[in-house]
This record gives sequence, C-alpha cells and structure tokens, in this order.
Amino acid sequence: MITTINSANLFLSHENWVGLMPFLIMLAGAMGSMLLGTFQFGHGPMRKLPLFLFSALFVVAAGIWSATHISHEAMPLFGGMMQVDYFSSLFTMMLCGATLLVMMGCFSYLEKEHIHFSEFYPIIIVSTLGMMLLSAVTELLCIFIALELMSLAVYVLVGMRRKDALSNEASVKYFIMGGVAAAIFLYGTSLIYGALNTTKLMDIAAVIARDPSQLHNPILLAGLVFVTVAFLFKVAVVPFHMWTPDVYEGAPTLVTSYMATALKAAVFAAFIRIASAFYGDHGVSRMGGETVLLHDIIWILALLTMVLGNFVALAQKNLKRLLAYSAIAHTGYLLVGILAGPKVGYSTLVFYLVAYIAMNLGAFGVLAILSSKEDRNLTVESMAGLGNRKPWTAAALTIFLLSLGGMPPTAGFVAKYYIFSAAIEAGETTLVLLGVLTSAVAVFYYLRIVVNMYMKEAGAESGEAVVTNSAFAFASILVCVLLTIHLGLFPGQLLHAMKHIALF
Amino acid sequence: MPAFLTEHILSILVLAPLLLSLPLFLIPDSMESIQKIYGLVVSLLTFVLSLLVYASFNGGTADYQFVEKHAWLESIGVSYFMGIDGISLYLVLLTTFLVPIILLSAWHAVEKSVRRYIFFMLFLESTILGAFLSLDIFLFYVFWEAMLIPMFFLIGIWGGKERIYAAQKFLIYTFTGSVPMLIAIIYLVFQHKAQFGVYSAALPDLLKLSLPGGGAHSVQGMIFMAFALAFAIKVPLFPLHTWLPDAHVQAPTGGSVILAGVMLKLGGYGLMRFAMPLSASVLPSFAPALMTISAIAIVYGACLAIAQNDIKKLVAYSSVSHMGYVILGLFAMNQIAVSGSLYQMLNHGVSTGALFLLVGVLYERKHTRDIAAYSGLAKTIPLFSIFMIIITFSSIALPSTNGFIGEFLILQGAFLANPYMTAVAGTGVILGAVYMLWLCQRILFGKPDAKKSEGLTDINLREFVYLAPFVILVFFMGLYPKFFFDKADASIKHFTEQLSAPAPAANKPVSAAVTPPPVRTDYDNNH
Repeated sequence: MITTINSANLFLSHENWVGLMPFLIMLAGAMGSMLLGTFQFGHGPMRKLPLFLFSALFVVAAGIWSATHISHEAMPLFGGMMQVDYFSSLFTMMLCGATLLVMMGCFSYLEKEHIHFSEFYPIIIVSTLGMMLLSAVTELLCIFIALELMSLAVYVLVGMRRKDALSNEASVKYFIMGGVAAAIFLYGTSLIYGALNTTKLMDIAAVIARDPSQLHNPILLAGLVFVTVAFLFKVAVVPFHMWTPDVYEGAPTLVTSYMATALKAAVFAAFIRIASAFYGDHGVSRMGGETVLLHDIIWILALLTMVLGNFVALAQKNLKRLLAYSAIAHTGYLLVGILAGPKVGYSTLVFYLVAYIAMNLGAFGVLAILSSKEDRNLTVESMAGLGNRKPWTAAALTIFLLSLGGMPPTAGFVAKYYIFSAAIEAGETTLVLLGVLTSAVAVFYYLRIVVNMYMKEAGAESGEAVVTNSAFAFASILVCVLLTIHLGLFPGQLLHAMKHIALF
Repeated sequence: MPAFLTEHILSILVLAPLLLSLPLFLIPDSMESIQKIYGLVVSLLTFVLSLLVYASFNGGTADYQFVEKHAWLESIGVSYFMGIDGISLYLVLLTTFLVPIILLSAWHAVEKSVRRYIFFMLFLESTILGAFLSLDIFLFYVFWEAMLIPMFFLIGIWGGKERIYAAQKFLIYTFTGSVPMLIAIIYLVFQHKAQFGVYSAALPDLLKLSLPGGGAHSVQGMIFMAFALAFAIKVPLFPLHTWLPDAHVQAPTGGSVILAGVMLKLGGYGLMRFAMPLSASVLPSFAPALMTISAIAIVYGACLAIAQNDIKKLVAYSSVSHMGYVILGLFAMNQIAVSGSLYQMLNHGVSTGALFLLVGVLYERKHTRDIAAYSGLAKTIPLFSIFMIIITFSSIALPSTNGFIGEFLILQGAFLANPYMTAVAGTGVILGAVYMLWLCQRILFGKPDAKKSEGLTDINLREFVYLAPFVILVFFMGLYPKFFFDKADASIKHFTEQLSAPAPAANKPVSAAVTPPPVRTDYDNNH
C-alpha cells in the first residue's frame, strides 16, 4: 500500500537534522551562489573569485560535515524514503571531493570558453546535490527525482558552450536520450509497484524475503530489468552507450570528466541499493548459489562493454572521444565489481570509483589546460613533443594514463587488482580472464598518447597549444597526481574504510 | 655494518637508485656533465651497497637472508616481503655492476634529454632489483610490470628509426604475456585462504599449498603454464622471441645492455623462483617439451644469427640461442645443470652486455651497424679488436673463459636428463662458433679499407675503463668458478630438492626450510 503522508514521518529529530545537514548545506550553497552570481566583482579574470570561493566553501563544508558525522548506524528518514548511513556518507564525501576538483579545474577554463561562470557554479552544485541524494534515497520515486535533479543540471552543463554547435548537439542528444531512459525507469517502477504494491526498497526487500518466489514473477522481473536498463543507460554500458562519445566530445572538457566520474559513482550507488533490495545479501553475484537473471544480463553486458570500449578506443584520434570510450571500458570493470556482490565486491567497487575519480579528473584536467578554444586541438597527434614543451604537464598526464591503463604502482593497478580478485573470489574467473585481456588492449591506446608526447617531435599543428595557467587548475591536477600515486602505494587505509559498507 | 643498515639493506638497495635520481631534476640543464656525474655516483653507490650485501651474505644456508617483512595490503594478504638467497645474489650483483657501466658508456652517445635518460636508467635499476628481491608474489608482479615503463621510454625516446614500433611491441608482448600470471597469482592467494584460512601472497606460504597435480590439465599444470608464458616471453623462448630483435636493434646501446644483461634473466629467474617450485609435481610432464623447445631455440637462434648482416641483430639472435641453454639446464632439474643455468645467466649478462657495448663503440664512430661497413679493424683499431676477440671467446665458450663453465655444466647435466635433446643443443656450440668467429673474421681481419676505416679511432680511456672489467670477469669466472658457487650452491641444491619432492605432502618438510627460520614477528605490522 502506498503510505499517505503521515505527520509522524515528517517529524525530524536532532539526529535526523544532523544527517540531513550535508544536503541542506548544498541546497543553501546552490541558492546562495545563484544570488551571489548576480553581483559583479570587478572586471579582471579574478572577478570569478568570490563566487568560486563561496561555492567551493559549501561543497567543502558538506564533505567535511559527512566525514565528521559518519556513522555505522543506518538512519532512515521520512519513513524510509531516504536513508543516511555509512554508504551514503562515503559517497557524499567522494562526490563533494570530485565536484571541488572539477570546480578548481574549471576556474580559468570557463574564461577560455566564454562560459557564464555565474550560472556554472550554482548548476554544478545542484547537480551534485542530486547525486548525493541518489546515493541516499531508498524509494523508487525518490530515486527518480534525484536522478532527474542530477540529470537536468547536467544537460545544462553539457550545453554550456552556447555558441559551439557540437556542445549544443551534445546537450540535445543527451537530453532526448536521457528522457527516454527516464521514461523507461518510470515504466519499470510502475511495473514493480504493480507487482509488489510498494515502491520503498525496504518493503520490497521484506516482501521478497518473505516470499522468494516473487523473484520469478514476470511482471516484477520486467520492472527490475527496465529499471536496470535506465541505470545502465546513465553509466553508458554497451549497448546503451550510443550517446556517450558525442556527448563526451561536445561537452566542456571538465564537464565530461564530471559525468564520467561523479555521475557514474552516484548512479552505481543507487543501483547497488536497488540490487540489494531485490537480491539481498548476495546482490547479483553468484555467491548465493544460483545465478539470478540480472547476473546473466550484467555478465554479458560487462563483457561487451569492456571489449567494445577498449577496442573502439584503439581507433580514436580525438582525445576526448578516446577517453570517452575508455570511460565506457572502465564502466565494464565497475560492473565486474557489481557481479562480485556485496560481500567482497562492493568495497572494491567503491575503491575503484575513488581511484577512477582521481585519474580521470586528472587526465581531463590536463586536457582542459592544454585545449585551445572549443577543444579543437585535442587530438592524439597534437600531443607530439609535449614532453619537451611542457615537461611537468606531460609527466602528470603520463601518470594518469598509466594509471588508467592499470600499470603498477598506480591507483589504477591496485583498483583493478582488487576488483578482479574480488570477482575471482565470487567465481567469475572467465569474465576476469577476458577482462584482464581487454585491459592489455587498453594499455596500447593510452600509450599511444604517451608515445606522441615523448617520442615524436612537435608537428605543425601541435605548436600552438594554448596552455592556460591557473593556480587552481594546477592544484587540482596535483591533488589528482598525489592521490593516484598514494592509492597505488598505500591503498590499505581506504580499502579498510570501505569494508564497513553495509546497506540495510 | 650498523644495525639499521643490516635490517633494511635490501630496501635501501632497491629504493636508492629511484629516490636518489629525483634530485637530478634540480640540476639545471646547462650543467649536463654534473647530471652525468651525479647519475654515475648514484649507480656506483648502489653497486657498493650490493657488494656490502655480498660480503655479509652467508653461503652456507639456503634460507633467505636480510629478510624484511611488513604488512602492506593486509586485506588481501600482500606484504612487503624481501629477501635474498644464493640465486638472486649474483643477479643483483650483475644488475648493479652493469648500470654504472651503461651510464659511462652513454656519456657522449646520448645527446638529447640526458637527465631523463639517467632517470629512466636508475628507475629501471630499482624495479629490476625489486623484482629480484621480492619474496611476495604480488610485490614481484608490481616490480615486474613497473619495469616495463622505464624500458619503454628508453627504447622509445633514445632508440633508432623504428623505435616507436619496437617499444610498443616490446610493451604489448610482455604486458599481455603477464595477464595469465596475474590471474594465477590471484588464484593462489585465494587458495591459501581456502586451505589455511588467511590470505597470503608470500612465496614461502604459497609453497605450502597442496594443489591438485597430475598432468598438464591439472590445477598445477595451469598455474605452471600461466607463469611460464610470462617468463618464456621475457627469456625469450622460441617461438615467443620475435619482440627481441626489434627491441634490441632499436634500443640505444645502454638499453640493449640492460635488456640483454639483466631483463632477460628475469625470465629464467622467475621460472626458478616461482613457476617451477610452485608446480613441482607437474614439471616431469612439461620438462621434455620445454627441453625440446630450448634445443630448437638454441639451434634456430644460432642459424638466424649466422644469416644477419647487422651486428646488433646478430648479437640479439645469439641471445635467443644462449638463453635457450639456460632453459635447457633448468628443466634438466639436476644440480649440475641448474648450476650451469645460473652461471650461464651471469655469463650471458657479461658477454652479451660487453658485445652490445662494443657494437655501441663502433656505432658511435661510423653510425652504422652493417657488417659489410667494417673490415680490417685489427689493424686500424687494435685495442678494440683485442676486446672484441676476448668477448667472442667468452661468447663461444672457449675453455678458460666463463662461457665454457656454464655451457659445459648445462650440457653435462642435461645429458643425464635427456641425451637426445642435449645432442641437438650441443650443435649450438658449433654454430655459435660459426657466427661469432665469422663475424670477427669479416670485421676484424681482412684488408683494412681506407674508406671504411675513415673516422675510426681506437677506444679511448673512458671506453677502456668500462670495457676492462668485462675482460677481468671473463677470465675470473672462467678460471675460478668456485668463487661463485661457494655462495650459490646451498640455494641451488635446495631448489633441485624442491623439484624432486614428488607430492605436496612430501613437500612439506622441504618448504618448511624455506621459511626464514625464526619468523621475525617484530617486523610484522609495524609500518
């Protein structure tokens, strides 16, 4: 039955307010920065500074609040519509961190691309708020609202380069495809409601625990598959990836990395919650003894995603497209973590997400400072001779690429090792073998960029690479470099923190 | 030695080249010679450190020495676990010995980005030493993969015309080959959890596992194949050797020296340290095949070497042939042959390293490696020719040189195991003499041609300094092998005993000896 709004559900205790605080901070940040954006502070490039600092302050505050108030106790809110727990706090920190890095990296990039900064900052905060909610809500309709809050903001971010046809095309394409995905999600939700008479994940879990035969109910299964497809669409899993290369290429560089990292992390968080609600302790893994329908679907799609992502990336000349396909391939590795299940897989999945945020944001951050107007010059060839022209920038990009390719001793290697070893523990040896082989393919295209940077002389077109000098951008890249190396050498701490992930 | 140094000497040895190379980036480009001197000093310091290890190494035991163990990735049982025994000792010495020589040889040969060259060379040294000294299989894998990065840059930046192709081929080949090994490593770690309740990637722990043996299709057989593929590519064993000629020909002289001198040894070392002991019970079913392949590699490599017009290519194919002996000896699995294999690895490092340096000397002067471009060098540059002849003798295993001891021991030991394949392999000795002596005949003797010898100067003091140690080693190792076997024998004996233990159950008392005797719990968990 659908619970009518009950006044008892609306009462919030002190603890509830504490748990909600990060979300409220972000909301305040979004509104405040929107207001502040209407004022003008001087005319130079530093006129963005007050707004930037103001927005960054709120993002940092939300992250620190969840770090300091992290608790192993799950706290249901609004009668089970939402749940603040260790899992959501972890994601909130991760998302705030990623957002801060993107905002720092964008500081002078916005200037170069003539993007209205007074709109950019509020919108990115709204979108992050949506992502944070996505990791915390536990009711299908609330998930839909969070998903749309996030997506609508990202549609706008993608089209922020208003005079660039590619950017516009990307935005419209993403909007239309995203609309379809939203419709599929809603349809799935309605089927699930029709089968179980509830949309709360807690109740769904309870019903299925009472009566496991429900899992063979075709209506419920159809609903679940529809919902899953919507998620797979958002994280660009083959065959729902068609929009990705165009959108990633057309979007402003750092928005691309924001989509490839933060957005992906948030969607995975929501998907993990849904999978746990339906399949309990073992998720979609094989560890429960029998394989479930979703396991087989994800198994095949994970393989397709890894293979197609890596092989198509081989042929790319445009760097953003190349990284778009690489992002698709990485989604495949993340799906392997999903298949390894809650017991062994999810902690490694979250570790992978953190490592991926560091290396991917770093790589795109470097591209952002190297790009000329509208990213026209970002081709593999244009990197020729960069190792001599910009030794430090090139060294940073090399570290990110090696990490993306999974070479030790970087974060990317450890993350892959963890995720694959978890999958082997869960009995997915075949998939792991194929996955590791595709990652050997990946090394090839990442290295092609390195080859151009260090082993080829600068050509005619590569000479004029515009380098934006911005202390904030360099700082964000530096943070990513340090994180990439630190997680590669000392991953123990972070992984230990992940071990406490418990969902219900 | 002070206590701190004794306890951490292996870590210091591994990290010193990498960490001490970082200050290079503070020395401005205008002071290139200071950069070179600094790099040389660092590499010499590392060499001295390794000599310290050698001096205090106890040859009477097969146990790992200077053991260091710290928890690293506890959740999956990975530890920072280092130790040295009689097998790795000499390979470590070979590495630290070659690097200063390489830096000295590159003094003028490397013109662009000198600082980076020195950095990558020292980085490479660190990763190679790390691989030789790791006793944790995950740690080994980290070093094993990490060493591809500096080598990739060394070939790709300072190599010849086709350097990019060669660098990529080298990297893809070795990286892909390591994939099955990674899976096998993960599998072993989980097996340890299944059998003993805790994750562990430490080699002594993994040796206690009882894995289903039997034929090639058993678990042990699969594990052996996964490891052997990675190591066979590195060795490289026929027919997986095709990356080697490209890499060698395109690599700069220093790159070729370290590649042939040390990196190929990692393949043989990996077989000895990991692949063979971990799957001892299935080795008898693989040994005949591998000995056959090695015999083919010996003859095939030698035949290809005969046909080459390019000196460097000739030396590269001779490596395929020489490394074939190493594998032949290893799979004979008796004390004599395995001793020979270890010795042959060192010999090959010395003789092939020196040959590449000599080719580099010629190339620096004439910028060609075409055999036809040289003749009568004995008359025009006699000192060079003396070195060339001595190293040639070492390479073709003339008695009283080091090469003789190695090949003789291998053939003697292999004959006991598989006389037919040994007979085939024996012809490699003759073929080796054919290509090397023919090479000498063509470039050293014959009429000096005025046009061909234009611009040729004899070796200078710097070149003499870095070539002379090779000559000393050739005769020292050839005349007094006891010096080496004194500290290696116990470990080799232990290795062969491990292999002859038929069933995992009977394996236990032996592998108990592998564990560093009193487990030094004071090292654990204090990082």
